[in-house]
Amino acid sequence: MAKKDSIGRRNFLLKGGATLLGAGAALGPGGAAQAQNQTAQNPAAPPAPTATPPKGAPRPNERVETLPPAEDPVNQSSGGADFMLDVIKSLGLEFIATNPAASFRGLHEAIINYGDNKSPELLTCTHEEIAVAMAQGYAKIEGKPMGVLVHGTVGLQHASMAIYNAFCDRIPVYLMAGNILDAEKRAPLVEWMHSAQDPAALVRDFVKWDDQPRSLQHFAESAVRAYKLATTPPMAPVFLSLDAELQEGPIEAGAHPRVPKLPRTVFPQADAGAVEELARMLVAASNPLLIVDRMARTQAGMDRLVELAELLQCAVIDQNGRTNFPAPHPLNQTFNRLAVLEAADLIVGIELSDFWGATHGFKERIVRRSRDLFRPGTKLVSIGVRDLFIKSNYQDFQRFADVDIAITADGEAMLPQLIEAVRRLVDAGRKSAFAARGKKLREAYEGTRKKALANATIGWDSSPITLARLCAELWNQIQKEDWSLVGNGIRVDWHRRLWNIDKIYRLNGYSGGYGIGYTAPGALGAALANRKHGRLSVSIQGDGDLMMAPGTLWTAAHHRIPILYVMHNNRSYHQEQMYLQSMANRRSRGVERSHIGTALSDPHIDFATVAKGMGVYAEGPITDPKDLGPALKRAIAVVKRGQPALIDTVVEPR
Amino acid sequence: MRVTILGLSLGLGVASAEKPAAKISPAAQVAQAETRGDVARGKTLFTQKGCYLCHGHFGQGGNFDAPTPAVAKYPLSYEEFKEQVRASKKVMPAFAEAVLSERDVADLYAFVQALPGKRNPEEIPLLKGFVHPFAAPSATKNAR
Repeated sequence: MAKKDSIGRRNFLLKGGATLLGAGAALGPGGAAQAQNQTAQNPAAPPAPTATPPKGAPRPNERVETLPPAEDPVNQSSGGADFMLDVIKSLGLEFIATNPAASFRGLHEAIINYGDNKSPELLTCTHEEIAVAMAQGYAKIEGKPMGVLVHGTVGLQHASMAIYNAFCDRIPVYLMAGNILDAEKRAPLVEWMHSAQDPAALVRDFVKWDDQPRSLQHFAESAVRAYKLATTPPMAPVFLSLDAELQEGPIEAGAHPRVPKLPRTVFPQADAGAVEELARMLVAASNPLLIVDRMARTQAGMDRLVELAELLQCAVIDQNGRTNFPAPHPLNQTFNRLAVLEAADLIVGIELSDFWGATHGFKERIVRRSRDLFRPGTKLVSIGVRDLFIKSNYQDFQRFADVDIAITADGEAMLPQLIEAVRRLVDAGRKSAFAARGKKLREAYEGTRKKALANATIGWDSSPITLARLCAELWNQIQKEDWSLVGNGIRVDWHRRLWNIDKIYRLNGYSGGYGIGYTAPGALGAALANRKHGRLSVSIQGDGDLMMAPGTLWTAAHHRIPILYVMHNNRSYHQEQMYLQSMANRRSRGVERSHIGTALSDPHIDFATVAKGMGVYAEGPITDPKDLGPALKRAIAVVKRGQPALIDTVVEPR
Repeated sequence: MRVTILGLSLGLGVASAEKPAAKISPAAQVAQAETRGDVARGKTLFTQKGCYLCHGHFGQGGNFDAPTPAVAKYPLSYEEFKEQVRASKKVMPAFAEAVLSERDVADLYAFVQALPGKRNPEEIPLLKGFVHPFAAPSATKNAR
């Protein structure tokens, strides 16, 4: 603002003094209290404005064009993008990840000059897929969206797979793309190719809401609406198409765009009768089982699930779309899944992405067959918000969940009610039965863990390094730190079997849509969120995944984001190689050629050199397990100094 | 050959590891391996036929769509082993005789039975800390 005011010949009008905008607003006592309360309810919501200006009064930061119209003006004293940025700032976005493009140059300039590149700060990404995945990983740690700015058409096309991942993961991402609406104003050739009548059509199947505002006021209202919808369960990405003329042009004299309030959102609660009924079922059941996936958004959610499970002494399976339940914990039966499903007489699925899949076996053979994994007569109850928002085309909604009761409510928000209802019903007799049940579950847990530990010893000193050894070496280096495993290669689960997972940020879920190329940038976004909390971010990084978005490493170095990537380098698109073997065997043709089209070798990729070339500290390839511990130690020292590091380890396929 | 010998338990059902078939004594296993198969050739086949892709080079097991069992010294008789290889009831791809001869199966059996297998976790310093999971509180219990 000061910079603009200093340009004397521009007749620049700024009305109003103090800002009423949320980010940076001086909250009165009432406002502060309201903001605190709001954070407790919805951590994604920034503090709300505390006052509304009287009708007709000057608006804060209001700028209008005062230069007289000229035939061919070369300067302007206002810009629509400045107001747009005011709106964006009111939402409390810390970062906007982007790959630069002409269609949003108006807003880009406003962010770096008018906004001084602070709150939001731009993150330079080498691919739009990286930008969106960073936002997805960030939101899961920070509990609020990151902005993403992409080019119209081609940039959005690059971004689309990552948007789908975030959608399947039910994570809010605040997406904006440039566009040129008025055909008369488009320069020949490229601007036509990079404009669209309806850019959102490309991603409408997997965003929650979209709009293409025609005026600044329209933008303001749509921008706040988009944020509100994205952060109200079921959460999902939202998309705004930003007209380049609106961004770049002056604000018309007489226009009085204003920034709307972002309301405090109360999340969907369960019907009280349904809560009571479920509580009765839980208390009466012989073997109730809780299965959770994308439930815990906050530490309170995790703590409450522990409270409920311990109250009932019942089994819990954590599918780890979020970190819902601690490990080790005697009631954590994640790796004793089939036994507890078979034993259950009541199964409660909380925020499951796939209730049917969680409770059924599926045999992928020439004739595909499935079966119930639970006994006949077992009652099934679902809790979640997925039914509140569903799209038809992409099939991420999975097979129909044939449940007895479907409670439409936010899983985390519902837990306090449910815990209280259960507590009221538990008498001494039930407590005794629960204790006996808990004892059996503890024995089962210890047995499962013992078996896992024994298996971990197989091939301990061998090369390629086993994944059990990799995870044990890594744990040895991080266990005394405030660690966060922000990325995880496909199906590496030794950490879930062995590590001490006691906080919600210890693990950061998965891609959601299984679109490869998520882990490296998703982990980086999460590491960015962890940076201000002083946590040590670590990612077990697949080689195929990193090759989708290797530029992630440059962004890590450029923005000084501390993260340790430990390569799970099996030199293959391994899952696909296994599927190919399955096909070859089915046809009795032998599996010797299954590396064709699947192997990442000849030449082997030297990830340490790749990383060094992007400015990242790196070592490897490490093939001898004895070398792993010291290398990890050196790399962690680099990360603790605020820099990214990569250790390339050549490991067993799975 | 993804000698997912013991049946990847993809989806349907438990890994065989959880419901082992009739056990035979270690001595009998060794005897069978010695009489029926060539360990060195079995080792080559284990890599060549892709068994390691699901079960690991050392028979430690892994993951496909679901956990794949550890096969090092797995307690299956030769006949049970062969049945798994030829027509697993689970999701392991079937290895027909056209791609894996009788001799190949015998050699593979000999190899997996000859693998070193499991050790006592308490003898491995890095694993020792995992043996008693509820013994010590987290070092970062109050981190947030």
